[in-house]
Amino acid sequence: MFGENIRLALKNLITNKMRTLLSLLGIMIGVSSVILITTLGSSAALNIKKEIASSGMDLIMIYGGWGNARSREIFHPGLGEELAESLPGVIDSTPNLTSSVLAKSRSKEASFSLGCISPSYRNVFNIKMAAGRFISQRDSKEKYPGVVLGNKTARSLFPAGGAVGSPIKLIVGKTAYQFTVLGVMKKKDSNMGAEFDNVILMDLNYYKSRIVKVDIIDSFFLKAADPEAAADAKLEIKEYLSSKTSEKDAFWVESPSSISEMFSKVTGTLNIVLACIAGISLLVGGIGIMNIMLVSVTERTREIGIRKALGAPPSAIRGQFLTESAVLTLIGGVVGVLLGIGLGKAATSIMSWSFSLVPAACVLSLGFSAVIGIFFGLYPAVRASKLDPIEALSRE
Amino acid sequence: MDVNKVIIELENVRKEYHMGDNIVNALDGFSLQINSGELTSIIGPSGSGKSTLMNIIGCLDRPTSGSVFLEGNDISLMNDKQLSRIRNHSIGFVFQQFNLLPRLSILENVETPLMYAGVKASKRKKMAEDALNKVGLGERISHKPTELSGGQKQRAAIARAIVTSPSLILADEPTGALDTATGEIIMNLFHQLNNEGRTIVIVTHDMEVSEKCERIIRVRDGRMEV
Repeated sequence: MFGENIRLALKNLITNKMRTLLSLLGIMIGVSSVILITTLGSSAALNIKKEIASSGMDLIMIYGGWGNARSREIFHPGLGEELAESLPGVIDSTPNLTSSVLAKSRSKEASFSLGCISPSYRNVFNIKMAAGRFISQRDSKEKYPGVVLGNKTARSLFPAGGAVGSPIKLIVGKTAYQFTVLGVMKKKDSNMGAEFDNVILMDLNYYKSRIVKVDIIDSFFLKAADPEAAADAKLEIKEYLSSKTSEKDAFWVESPSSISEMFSKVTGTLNIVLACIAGISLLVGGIGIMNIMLVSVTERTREIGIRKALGAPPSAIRGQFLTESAVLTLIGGVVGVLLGIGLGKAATSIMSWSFSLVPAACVLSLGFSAVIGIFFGLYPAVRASKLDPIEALSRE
Repeated sequence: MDVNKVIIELENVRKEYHMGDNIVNALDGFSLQINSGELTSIIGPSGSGKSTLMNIIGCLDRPTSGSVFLEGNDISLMNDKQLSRIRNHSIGFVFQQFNLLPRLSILENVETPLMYAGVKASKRKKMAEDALNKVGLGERISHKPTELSGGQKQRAAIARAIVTSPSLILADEPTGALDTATGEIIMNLFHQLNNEGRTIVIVTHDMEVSEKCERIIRVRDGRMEV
């Protein structure tokens, strides 16, 4: 009987193609706008996350607090590795020891900020090279005397270009050290106090074994798995470090997670707005369906009368019209989902975002449109089932 | 079939209609008994109450007072659902305007009462084809009703009426929309079905149709004319 009803419903809908299309418009527009908005929302979120990740939302910084001198228990050179190993939220780390240095190329000399870091620095900050290469693990192990220059550093020391492979002298205290330029970084905006353009980067391992013996590091940069993980990782780090020292304010742990929190708040608001839009448009669509089903019942009064004379119980008539309106709205839902996906693809490709569909939105709006069909089809169907067969049969 | 079995029995049936402030007595204490295997005609002018009588016999309507027994069951006490079941199993309707469902094929039209009876699809098709063969409409069964002549439509409607093997076939002016020759053929078909033992009631205002039936019931002013 159910299969029969579906067949009948499709037959009727095909017979009145134009009317079917028009009555579906409401549901179609409702569903497609839900799909479009969720797609745009999730694509935008994906993009913002990517941008945040590339600009360091996944970063966490540890530096000394207001307290006394940095404690040896915390700020030892291996702290970064230690945290990365013991906390799953932390995936990479670099120490950061800054001082200033006088640098001399063949033709120029100038003062720059010297950053003593580990090869992981490149990954932590997503460093891109303009020329040459970054300091490698092997350089660090073999204590190779190589440095990496920031973009502006390279231009002021080597105005004619050809920095990579050139010798460079760094004067620390009163001693001059000979280095080779390994590479030049691309321009990059500063991030959480880290600066990239006016710097010279050197491997910390080399620095502490060949230049100045150090056992306390200024600060550490850590990289979290993703921006959401940064907030949790920050708390974990605080807990971990607190267990190492009883001193108050011995350290500060910072991350741009507050921005990340704000972002998820915005997304939450967007979802509420979305739910309202969806609700209103589906309601309007549903009223349209009810209207068209009432017309359909009136038009087919005679058919209902005949069916009743042939022995259709009220439940069968009700089922027939309910199935018809559910099928109607389900078709609207399917078309709406397809339309929404198409529009979403077009919009994301225009904005050159990566396309991200929300499968739950598709399933929910399909389910919801069927429910709308049944809900708004109920009144017309009940009305049809209660028609007096004699009166119905006498209708032309 | 038991020839003397009572199929339908009306006992002092009254049916009142409210027309504004007036009460119209469409049936005014009507009693009637139809036995199995009879070919009966109910004849009367328009407004005589014969349509009301037909609706009550056909279990489409309940009397205001009095009782109606269909094969011993009092239908005046039944609800809509029970009445629809009775119509499905025990009554086969044939209408003046054929009343075939326009969007369905002839075969599907004949299958419709079986669908409501809950017969399986495969069995349904076989039964519908048998009924169509019986009325001489073995071909064109996949056509829509609009593609058929009036006579063919009425044959299809008769096939639909007999497909559930009802206890009573109730025909309302079955030849009213047909030319004389075609009407003759349809009346012959009713005779043939009656000879096979089916109980048939034909409601008409046409004397010629009525006279072809073995029993004639005349209705006037809501009463049986003797």
